[in-house]
Amino acid sequence: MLKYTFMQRAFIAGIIISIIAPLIGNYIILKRFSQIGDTLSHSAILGVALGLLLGINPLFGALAVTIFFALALERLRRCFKGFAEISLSIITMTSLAFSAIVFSRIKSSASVMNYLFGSIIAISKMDLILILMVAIPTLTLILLFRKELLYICFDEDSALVSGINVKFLNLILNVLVALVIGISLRIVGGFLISALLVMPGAVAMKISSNFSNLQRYSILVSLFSVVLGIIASFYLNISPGGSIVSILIFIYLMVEVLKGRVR
Amino acid sequence: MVELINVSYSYEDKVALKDINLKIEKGELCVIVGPNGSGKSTLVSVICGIYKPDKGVVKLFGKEDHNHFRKKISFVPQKVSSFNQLFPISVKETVLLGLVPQKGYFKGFSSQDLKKVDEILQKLDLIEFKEKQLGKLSGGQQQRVFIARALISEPELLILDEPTVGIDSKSEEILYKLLLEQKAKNTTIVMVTHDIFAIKSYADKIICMKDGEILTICGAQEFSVKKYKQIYFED
Repeated sequence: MLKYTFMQRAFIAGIIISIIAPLIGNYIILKRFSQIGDTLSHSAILGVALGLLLGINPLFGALAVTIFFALALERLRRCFKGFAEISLSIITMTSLAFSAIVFSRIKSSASVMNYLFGSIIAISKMDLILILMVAIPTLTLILLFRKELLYICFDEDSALVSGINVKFLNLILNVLVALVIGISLRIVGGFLISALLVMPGAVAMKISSNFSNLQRYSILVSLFSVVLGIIASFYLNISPGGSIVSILIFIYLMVEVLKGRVR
Repeated sequence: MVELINVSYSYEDKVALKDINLKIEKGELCVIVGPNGSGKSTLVSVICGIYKPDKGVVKLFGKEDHNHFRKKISFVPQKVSSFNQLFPISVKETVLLGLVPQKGYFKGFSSQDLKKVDEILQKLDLIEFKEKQLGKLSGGQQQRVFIARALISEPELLILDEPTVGIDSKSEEILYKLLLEQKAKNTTIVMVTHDIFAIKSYADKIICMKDGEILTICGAQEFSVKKYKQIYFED
């Protein structure tokens, strides 16, 4: 399996994404803003559509459009203070509407499917370089703002009072989510990216009593699911997005059952 | 230390604070009292900078621009409304959050910081729960953890919004002991409370509020419980 170059790329990309996605996903879970993953993944699909239409690398398109909507989201949230979900719905619908229009202008549907459900054979050398170029600063930012992000997730008011730049960090968080979605698109696909952001954290929350363990366990769960999902995708010839998320759901159910027995 | 000049604040069309003028000196323990909906928590939120006043000026440390002084301020919010019991955070991690503003970006916690956590938890009789999940503690213990988080940074201005609501007598006793210790260190304390005992025993200044206005500002000596009850029950 590893003698194939496309599998080597799939594993490298998959391992990078499986470490970064839960690290940032855990913050949006704790901020009770998990839906942002769904919303921005729709924006990523629009970016892919624009990329394919304009003949540029769809990952570039996805990153650019997702970051644009992540910034717009923060602005809209301020307009609907206390009703953040309205801003999420507006961005989701806007992305879907434009995606529908742009996709109707694209002739080939095969490449579109790869971006919706992921593909292990489609990761090009350029994609891998782009994933690495985005992953390194993303991981650096997550580590640099780790304690500040935890503070605003736990108690935004107290963080604000003691001088933490809450507005800036919320913006950073949105942009980080956008970046993770952009680079995860190839492996998991636009429809299932938010599962990679949320599911590892959902499993880890069941067995963690502190934030450090939440981060550790969610990475382990994510890494295991992504690696196993890619292997399953190779041998069973199924979409990696589907296999990865199915494994995540299976782990979640197992943890629920085992926790129930312990109780 | 804290000065409000003609401050007003509204939630959409509901006026919450009307032309508030007050001055709290350095080292004072100031208590804000009044019936529910009188504007106490809004007043505290305006002082903290959570809400920006529609009108008027809020001066902290003698300045209108408080950004440089924010690290010297600690806030203890109403616990129940601000904290999700399932949040995966330990007591130690919660208390360390109090040091985040002082550390600044890019810096991690040192062994010195961890020692400070141990000291403050020891003081608040919480050391045995250090590694426990915050949500698994009792209401009183959780409130003490929030107070530990506020005190670990040794603030010059400490603001507490109803810190004694729903807590046991042991926690209450520890809280007041600590507040007096802070006062002795010249920390300015602003506290919203319904606890008449605290008002009479500890306060230097009492601000009585009703319908978004300050009815009276007096010292503990002049404060009459009878008058206080009138504010509550005359309607």
